[in-house]
Order: sequence, then structure tokens, then C-alpha cells
Amino acid sequence: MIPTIDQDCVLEMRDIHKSFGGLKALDGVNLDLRCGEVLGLVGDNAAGKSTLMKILTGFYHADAGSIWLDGKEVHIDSPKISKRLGIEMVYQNLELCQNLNVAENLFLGREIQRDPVFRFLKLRQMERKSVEILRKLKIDIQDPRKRVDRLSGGQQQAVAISKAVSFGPKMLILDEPTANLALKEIGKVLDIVMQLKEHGIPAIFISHRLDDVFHVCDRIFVLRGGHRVALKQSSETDHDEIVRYMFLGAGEESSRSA
Amino acid sequence: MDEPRSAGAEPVRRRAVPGFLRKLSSSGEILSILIALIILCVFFSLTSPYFLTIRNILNFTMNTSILGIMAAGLFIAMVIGEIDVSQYSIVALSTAVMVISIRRGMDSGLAIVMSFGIAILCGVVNGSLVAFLRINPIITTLGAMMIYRGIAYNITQAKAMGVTGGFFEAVGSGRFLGIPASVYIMLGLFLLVHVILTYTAHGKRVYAVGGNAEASYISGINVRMVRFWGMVASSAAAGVAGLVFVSQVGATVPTVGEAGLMDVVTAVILGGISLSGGKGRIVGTLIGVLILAVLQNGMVLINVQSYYQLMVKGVVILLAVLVDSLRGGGFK
Repeated sequence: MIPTIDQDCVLEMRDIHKSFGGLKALDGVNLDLRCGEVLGLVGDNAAGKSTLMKILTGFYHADAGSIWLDGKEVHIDSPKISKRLGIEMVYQNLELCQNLNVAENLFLGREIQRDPVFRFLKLRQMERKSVEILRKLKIDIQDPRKRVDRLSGGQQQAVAISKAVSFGPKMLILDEPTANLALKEIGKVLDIVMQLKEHGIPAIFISHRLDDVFHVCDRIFVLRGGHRVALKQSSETDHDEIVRYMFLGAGEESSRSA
Repeated sequence: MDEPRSAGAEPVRRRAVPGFLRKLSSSGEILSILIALIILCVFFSLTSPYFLTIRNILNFTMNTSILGIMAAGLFIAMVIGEIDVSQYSIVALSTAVMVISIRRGMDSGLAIVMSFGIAILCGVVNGSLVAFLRINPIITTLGAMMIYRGIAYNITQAKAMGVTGGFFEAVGSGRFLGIPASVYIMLGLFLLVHVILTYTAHGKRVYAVGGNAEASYISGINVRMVRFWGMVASSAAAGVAGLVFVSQVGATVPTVGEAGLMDVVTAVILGGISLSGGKGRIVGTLIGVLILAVLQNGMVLINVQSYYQLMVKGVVILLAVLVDSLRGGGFK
């Protein structure tokens, strides 16, 4: 059954197929992201999570299927187009330059310039705006001139998310934002994700850490072997059920929409 | 609702250190090579009465200005994570063409522009191979070095060829406040590189690509073009160095720099750059250039045999690379 276009949806991926050689990575996957929600995307390794997201960010092309943003069909042929459409991804292995400071990282590639030729920077303005961007997500980094390699892992993740948010995206993809973090830092990053919700920025939250998924996500989407095996309201399911879906699957019937 | 937890609150590590001290410790690298330079100067001034004379100092700074000019350009390429060993060959080639053209009656102004243009062209070749075809920069510029040098030998028949002219005299023997023009050119170039790298978007992107090329790409930076222009900058500096060289010597010399192939690279590494890119400050390179100059000059003054000089330079290169490696740099 083809789902109807939902007005409340920011993103709809419909009947997405993708094969690599003989291997079916995605087999008719439907995914929708609603306004202002955080959607958890979980699944075992090789379930197709990253393939699905790479199609969304333009690194891969789907063999079949369509992608709809704000009710309009879009063709995402390259990462650039994905970005232009307002899809921002925060990568697991942080897209930050460790040797640059916070402000320089936030404005990397779109520096505020005085002139188009010599491209002299408006450093003060960049720093001031950086503070604003960080403050918007209640991130406590006082000095935008602090080099990123002197920040903690959680702070770096915070900067990476702020950077994505500062592009004014339609939606965010957070790829394992809490992996490799100390326990006390995880809570801080999850707080930022909750802030996204407050600012009405929808996000897809990819994680292996189910505790984190349940903490921030409104719905949980389970992929297994290239199929959607479950889509549940997180308030209506529990840890054990999701794990069962992830590792055992649940037959075709369980994929009814939440 | 209780107060929202702020993300990534800083671990309690703030020390009550005065600002200038903190700044000093953050530039610890610069400080340590500055100390090395001072120690060398003290050593040679104690072992040779001539070392600390104004004449000697002016002499070796003038000699080293050519090296310094090239180092300023190479610094940009090396911050990006590339390297260039073809600079001296570019000096040989661009000046050979220039001198021959002048001797055949070309207007010297035009020939000077052409010489610089040839250097840029060599940079375009190097940059294309390194940035677009992703050939290892050491191998690329080593090969390019042989080609450029070979052409220079060919067209000069491996002979030095003299040239005169107002421009060359002004640059070669002109002085302002007693300091040779070439030293001003070198310092001017260092200042230019400093301004570009610190205050412009181009500069930030140079550091960004050197620090994390993937992140730079994702951020929309044209990584290839940054690498390309870095190699061109290195060659352009060689073009300027060539003009200064011809002015000082009064001739093009096809063998120029053959004995000191790695001198420029050594100077930049001594200046605290990381071979893996992304790190280093131009002021460090200036000090690195001076260390090398003092070392060479001092060894001559205290009559160190040239064989030993070569060995000392080799040890210095290895030490500099070792320090980089210990700091977690190393070649990617």
C-alpha cells in the first residue's frame, strides 16, 4: 500500500530499493519524519541504516523509490543537493577540524567575509554569532576562540550539532552522536537533542544505545536486513521489544505504522 | 522544570594563569625553537669573533633571504599537508629562460614577468598532479624537479650566464637603512603569508584542509583547489626567489641549490610545522630559516669541514622530523 502524503511530514522516503551487486541492502523501505519529532533509527550492523541515510544525503542513489520533502518530490543526486535542500547530517566521526577554533569550525566554508577577492574575515562578527548559535542550544562554551582539540568529546559533539543547526536545516540526521562519549557527557548531548525538539527541528537519531533512543525519540524505526520490521511510538514499546525486532525480526505484519 | 543542563560544561581545569603567560605556553613550540636559535647564536659568538659582527649578520641574512622567500611559500603547501622539493629547480629554470631572453634582446621587464610566469606554470603542473591526480607530492615534485632542472641544463648548456640591469642591481645591492633589499622582500613575503593565513578565509581553509580534508569537503570547501593553490604558492615563492637570486649573483646558475636540495624543507620543519599538515605558524618558519642560516654560517666560521657540515644538516633534519613525530605528527 502506498502511503498518502501526510501534511505533517517533513520527509517521506517511499519504497526505497538499493542493491549492491547481488546484495539487497534496502528492499522497499518507507520512512517518514514528522514535524518537530525525533525519530530513532535502529538496527543491527548491515541492517541498511547507513545505506538509507546515504541515499538521503546524496552519497548513494536509490535503485527505485522516491523522496518527498515538505510534500514535494525531490531528486537528491549529490551531497551538495541534499545540503541545499536543507538536510544536514552530523557524522559519527565528527566533521570538525581539530586544529581550528570553535568559531572557525562553525563558519568553515561559509566564513563571514569583508570582500569577495581577498576574503578578509570579519572575525569579531563570526565569534559573536558563534556565541549566539551555541547559546541557542544552551551549550556552555564561553570562548569561541577555543581550539576544538581542547574541548571534551561532548563539547565537540555539541559544536558539530550547532554547526549543522546553524545552516537553518529542514531536518537533521544525527549519526551515533553519543558513541565514544563518557557517560556524563552523553546526558549533555541528549539535552541538546531535546533542545532541537524545542526549536522545532526534526531529526533522525541513529544509535546503538537504546537507552539514549528511548530518552529522546518520539518514534522508533527498526531496520533489519533491508526491511522495516517495526515502527513504534517509544511510549508504547520497550527496550526488550525493540531488541527482539532488531535481532529476530518480526514477520511482515509487525511493520504496521505507529 | 529545573535548570537545563548545559552541554559539555568545561571540566574544572581553569587555572589562575596570567594572560601573557598562558599565551606564552600556548606558543611553547615557537619559544623552544627561539631558544634553540639563541643557543646557537651564543655558541657561535663564543667560538668565533666574527659571528656577531654586523657585517657577518647582514651577510648571512642576505644569503639566506632566498631560502627564506622559498620557505614562506613552501609553508603554505606544507600546512595543507603537501610538500615541494622542486623549488630550487624552478629557480634554475625560470631564471635561465629569463636571462637567455634578455641576452637575446628581450625587454628585461617583460622577461622578469615571464620568469615569474614560468614559476607559476611549474606550480600549475605540480599542483595539478598533486591535487587532481592525487600523486604523492614527494614523488611528484621529485620528478618535476628533475624535469625542470634538466630543461635548465639544456638551455644553458649547464653554464652560468650573467645578466645586468637596473632592476637586478636595485634588488641585488640596494639597501635601505643599511639592510639589503632582499631581506625586506623576504620579510614582506612572510608578513603577506601571515596576513593571508590569519585574516582571510583562504588562510582558514588552508589550515582546515591540512587539519581534516574530509571535514573540509563536507563543509563545502573545494579541497582540490586549496591543494592546487598551495602548490602554486610554493612555486610562486620560488619565482620570487629566482629573481632575487639572479640579482644577488648577477647570473643564472643552472646548478643552484643542488647541494641544498632539502634546505627549504628542513627550515620549514625546523620551524615547528607538522608533516601531517594543519599545524605550524609562519613565525616559526622564519626562526627555522634563521636557525639553518646561523648553523651554516657558524660552521663555516669555525672551520667545520664541509663533509661534517653535510652530516650536521642531515642530523638536524632527522631531529626536526623526530620531534614532529613525537608530537604526534608524522607523514600521512
